[in-house]
Formats: sequence, structure tokens, C-alpha cells
Amino acid sequence: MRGVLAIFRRELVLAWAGGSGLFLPAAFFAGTIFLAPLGVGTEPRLLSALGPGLIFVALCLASLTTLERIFQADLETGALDHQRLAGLSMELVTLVKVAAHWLVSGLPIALLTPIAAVMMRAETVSAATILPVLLGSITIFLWGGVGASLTAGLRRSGPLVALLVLPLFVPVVIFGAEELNHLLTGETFGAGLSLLAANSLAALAISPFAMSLALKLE
Amino acid sequence: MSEDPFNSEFALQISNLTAVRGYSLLFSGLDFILSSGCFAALKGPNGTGKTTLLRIIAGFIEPETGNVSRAEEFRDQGPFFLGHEHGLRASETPLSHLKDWADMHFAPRDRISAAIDRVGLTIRQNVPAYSLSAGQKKRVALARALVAPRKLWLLDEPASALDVHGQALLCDLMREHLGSGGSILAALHDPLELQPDTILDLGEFAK
Repeated sequence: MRGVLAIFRRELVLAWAGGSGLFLPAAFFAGTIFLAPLGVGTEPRLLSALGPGLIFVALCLASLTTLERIFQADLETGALDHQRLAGLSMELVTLVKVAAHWLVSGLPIALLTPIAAVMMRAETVSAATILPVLLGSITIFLWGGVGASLTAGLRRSGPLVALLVLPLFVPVVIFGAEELNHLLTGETFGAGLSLLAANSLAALAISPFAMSLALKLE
Repeated sequence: MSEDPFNSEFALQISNLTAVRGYSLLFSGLDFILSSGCFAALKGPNGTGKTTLLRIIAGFIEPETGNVSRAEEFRDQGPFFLGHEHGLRASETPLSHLKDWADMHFAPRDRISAAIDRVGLTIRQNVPAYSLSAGQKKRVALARALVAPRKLWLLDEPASALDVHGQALLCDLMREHLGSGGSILAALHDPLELQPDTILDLGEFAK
């Protein structure tokens, strides 16, 4: 465990030291939500109807901005080889890398959701609106990690990652927008949240094996 | 096949190994035994598969045929692998890298400052890798072997980018490693000051 924790800490420290790219997904998300009312007009009913869907679409696209970087640097510098040689389980190593990436890129987006909901003229905004986006972002980053691991050896792999993983984001957008719509119109949690949770558990169960296998093939 | 008749204990045994890259055969029918405490130099022209062989031994690549077996005491820990890539991310410093290295390999952290001292990076230990020269990065890579000792060393052109003092340091470290019963397989173009016990010439196995 100590070995895997060291990799987690290293990823966080490097993400912090890396600078510019750190808040790119959150900034992208905020920018999309900020521009939406300027594009579609400020009609409250229209905005509140668009809100949940737009928030999830923005989440998916924002995650794509930095996904390709999760494994690229470590593969290029050979650090991934050393992590394999250290006898650490590659499933855990990849999971930890995605977790660190999610913590700096995915979590801020989830925390921005109430503000985004206010900008989209939602009827009721509570802290609970964070939850569907939080669960959805976990799924998105896990599947995104699979895409990133498959293309880590390629240059300029961003568009390819997007093509690979966007189909996997579909259930998240459907159930997530549905659930967020529930919450923003003042209803309590619906079935969407369970489905989102089930989705993220499935991604959690499958993606580490897919990622470790993909990286061994590089 | 080259075997040291005085030392039947082997560290590494390679039998009937074949490797391909893309559609071309690199070498085939390779048999080799590396005894413990021995230094074998891996030679051969460019493109004969020296790096590929080292990566097969490290377990990164599956060989086409044949197998590689390591002695019992060498098997429970991975080899120390020094490749062309230095494994440092741009914003990592030698100190932070070696701390993570120690944790990753379940090694105590108290060897780190001595290791940094030994490779001569004391005043640069907090400088991020993007400001280090290629030789200094190589020195960081060498310090890893001191932080988390491994019995088998696989070195790919270990002297590249190192200055005269760096090469002397490398030879000293290798000598100490051999003295403590470790084994070394190193791909070399220019001979080191340290004489190898055996030479494995991949050119002989090329097709």
C-alpha cells in the first residue's frame, strides 16, 4: 500500500508543480456554462430546461481536455516501467493515477455544479446537486483513463481518445441529466442516482484491468 | 553458451530465446547463463536487439520463443533497470524522486541523502529535472540503485551522457555491487574501465 500511496502523492505533487493544465477542465466547464446564456438568451424557462443536460455535456467535454495526459508523461519517461518493476499491481497503479487526476480535474467540476445551476436559472439549488455530477465524473474519468491508456503511446492522441470514450459517456449523460433535472426542480433523489452509482461501480470494476492491460501492450 | 566453471550458481538463465521486432527477427536460439557476482557485457551492432533483450529479461516484453529464469533469491524482487529513459518527470526534483522511489520499493528513506551525496548531486537535489543536464539525470538514475538495492542490474548504455568522473563513479558502484554478490548485464558500445567477466555478442545470434 505504501508504494501505491507514494505514486498517488507523486501524481498530486506533479500535477500541482505542472501548473497551467491543473484547472483547465474546471475552467473549460465554467466557461461553457458562462457562455450558454449569452448564446441561447436569458429566458429563465429555456435556461432551466437546458441546464441539467448542458452541465453534463460540459462535464464530458471538459474531461477530454486533459485526459490524454494521465499516462503519457510516465510512459515517455520510462517511469511506468519502473513502477512495473517495483512489483506494484498495475491495476492499482492505474487506478491511483486516475484518482489523482480526478481529484484535481473532476472534483472541482462537481463542486462548481451549484454555481452552474444558479447561472442556468434552476428553481431550487442545494448542495445535493453536486452528487449526480460527482458520481458521473467518477465514471467519466475511469472510462477516460481506459481511452488514455490505449493511446498513451501515440502523439496528439486527444481526438482519438475523444472518439474512443464518448460512447461510454452516453449512460452518464442520460441518467445524470435526468437526475439533475429532478433535483433542480425541487424533487428528491430518483432512480437516476442509483443508475449513476451502478454505472460508476461497473467502471470501477472493469477499467483498472483494461488500463493495466493496455499499458502493458504499449 | 558461456558458463563460469567455478561458480555453478546462476543469477539468470536464458534458454533458446528468440525475439522479433515488427516483422524482422532480431536473434534466435540465444542461450546464456549469468552467474551471481559476475558482470556480463552485452555487445553487438546497432539494431541487433540489445535493448530488446534487456527488456525481455526485465519482463516488459514476451519473447517469441524460449524463456528466462532467475535464481530464487533474484526472483522475489525486480531487477534494477537503467534504460535510455531516465524516468524523471519535468518538475520532479532528485530528492522528491528518490523519496518516492524508496516508498515505491518499500525501502527505508534514510539512505537517500547518502545516495545523493554519492552521485554528487547534493547542491542540486532540489532542482527540478527540466534544469538538470542529461548526465545529472543519469546520476539520479544511478542513485536509485543505492536507495533500493536490487541483486540483478540490467544496464542499457549506462555510461552514456556521463562525464569522466561519472564513469568512474559508475565503475565504482558496479564493482561494489559485484563485490556484494550481485550480477550485472550491461549493453555497452565503448568498453568501461571495469573488465567484464563474460561477453555476450548478439551479433552471433542474429539472422
